[in-house]
Amino acid sequence: MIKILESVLRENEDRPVIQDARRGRELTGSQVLLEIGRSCGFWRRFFPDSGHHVGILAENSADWLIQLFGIIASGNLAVAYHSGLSEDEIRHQMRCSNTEVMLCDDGMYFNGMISDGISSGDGAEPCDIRFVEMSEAWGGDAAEFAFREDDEDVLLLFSSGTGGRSKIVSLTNGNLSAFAQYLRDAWKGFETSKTGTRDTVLVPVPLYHISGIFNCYNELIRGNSLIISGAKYLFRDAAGGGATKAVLVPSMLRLLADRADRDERLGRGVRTLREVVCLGAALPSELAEFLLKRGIRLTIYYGLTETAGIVSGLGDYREGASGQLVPYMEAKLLDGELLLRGPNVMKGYYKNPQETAQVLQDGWLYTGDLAEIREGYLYIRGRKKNIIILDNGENVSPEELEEKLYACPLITECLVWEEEGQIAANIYSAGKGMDWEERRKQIENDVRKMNQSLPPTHRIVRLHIRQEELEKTASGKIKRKRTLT
Amino acid sequence: MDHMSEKIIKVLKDMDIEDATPESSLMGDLELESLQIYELLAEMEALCSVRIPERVLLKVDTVQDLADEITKLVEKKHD
Repeated sequence: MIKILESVLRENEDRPVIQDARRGRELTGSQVLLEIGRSCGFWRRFFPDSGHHVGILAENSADWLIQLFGIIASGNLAVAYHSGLSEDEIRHQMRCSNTEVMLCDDGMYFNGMISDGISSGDGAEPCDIRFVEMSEAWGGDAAEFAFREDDEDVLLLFSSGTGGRSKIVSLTNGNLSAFAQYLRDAWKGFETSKTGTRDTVLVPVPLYHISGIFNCYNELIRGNSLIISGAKYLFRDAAGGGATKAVLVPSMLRLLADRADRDERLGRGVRTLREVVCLGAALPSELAEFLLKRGIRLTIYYGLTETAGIVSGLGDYREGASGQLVPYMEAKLLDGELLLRGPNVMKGYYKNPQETAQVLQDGWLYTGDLAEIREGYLYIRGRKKNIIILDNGENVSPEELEEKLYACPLITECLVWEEEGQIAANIYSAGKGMDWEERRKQIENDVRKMNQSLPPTHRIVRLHIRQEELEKTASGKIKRKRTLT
Repeated sequence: MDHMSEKIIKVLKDMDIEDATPESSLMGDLELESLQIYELLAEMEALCSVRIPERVLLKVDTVQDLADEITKLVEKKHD
């Protein structure tokens, strides 16, 4: 992965390849290579040997991406954390992933506790993990990059945004290099990009998610330049007008589409776009129409964390399809479920052989997605697995949220599901001895407190509290609503 | 109403979110989607010339909560 990147950065040594809005600078290929070397040098001195687990807990930035490359180049393994999680969730994930040291934004770690830079954590227990602030994690001299075998684990990613029962996807050097290798073998970099010219690519999707890592890495491999943005700066960076391509989830595209005709600056920014890559969740047809009628090329990607990025997304746009399959993967359907095999498929979940055995059999990954394949194009038809996919592309496990709800003493039964793109919960509260209105208010309060321990995207927004039991199946389980597209 | 709450409410009005009060819950009463909340943070960063970490949202439910957290950040910056 790093060797391929090194070649590309040398080919683009004098061209700006990353815009670093946070530090107000543009980095050329040679500068990025130098910075990766300095990160690598720091981690080589921090750990005299290799194979250590280094967590990254920070908001999107050029430094985040460069440090990811530097950690891998130093012979260690990066663990990417959702920077909006509660301290409890982060501590749990640190234990599960054997993270030894946490690289974090300056001011995020205070007195042994993860903080928001404001307080000292309000009495939380001190953490025994070492923390390194981003501004410190650079060596004086650039160090040589370690050679990584294809089957070496280099990156751990949590498969859903919440902690608790998140599975940890372990990705190898080979997994992460597969698409880049295809680009280098089959294409001639920017000369054969879809728009026929180099692009400046706006990437606001989170870097702790495979979509952020995959797209930043592979856009660099294409010879394109990056504007590393984030959810907070989406509007500002889209309105800035420098991007010719953007990688968006449907909720981000919806925000831009809703405002582009009313906001002059944003309208101008959208007009500079030649291509939009949409991923993470199904794209409503009106959003596709918004782009196509403006002559903006639309590319739909489908992929999973478990496949280290995209499975399909090639070829011209076809309504309802998620592009053509990448040629280095095999795909088949079993009872409508999509099965996949290829060099980008993970070896398994970290320290979780039972869950791994559920999804990986004879080298085939059981995606849990229902699909059709027609003329090489992939059509996703629904989900077999019980996951809510938000329109920002994040996965939320209903069971994890239900588990948290059951900690509320007045909740007897609950069901979490997706209602019009938002997370909803049906709640049944039994028992006597309390006025019904008082009971409802107490439940609402308890859910509000629970929500505050979650990032905004994972909060239960719609609450239906009732005095009747929830509908059951024949075997007595609470009946779940299934989502089909 | 304190000065910071007033600023937030003005920014919300510019985002076409009317009728916000200091007691309004951002996701509940005002029904802000997560991207709108992040946009609000970015606008307040620019107005107050202070970086507002996204983690602040773990402590925030209402307009007043957000005002209080931003005020602390501004005061910390000036210390």
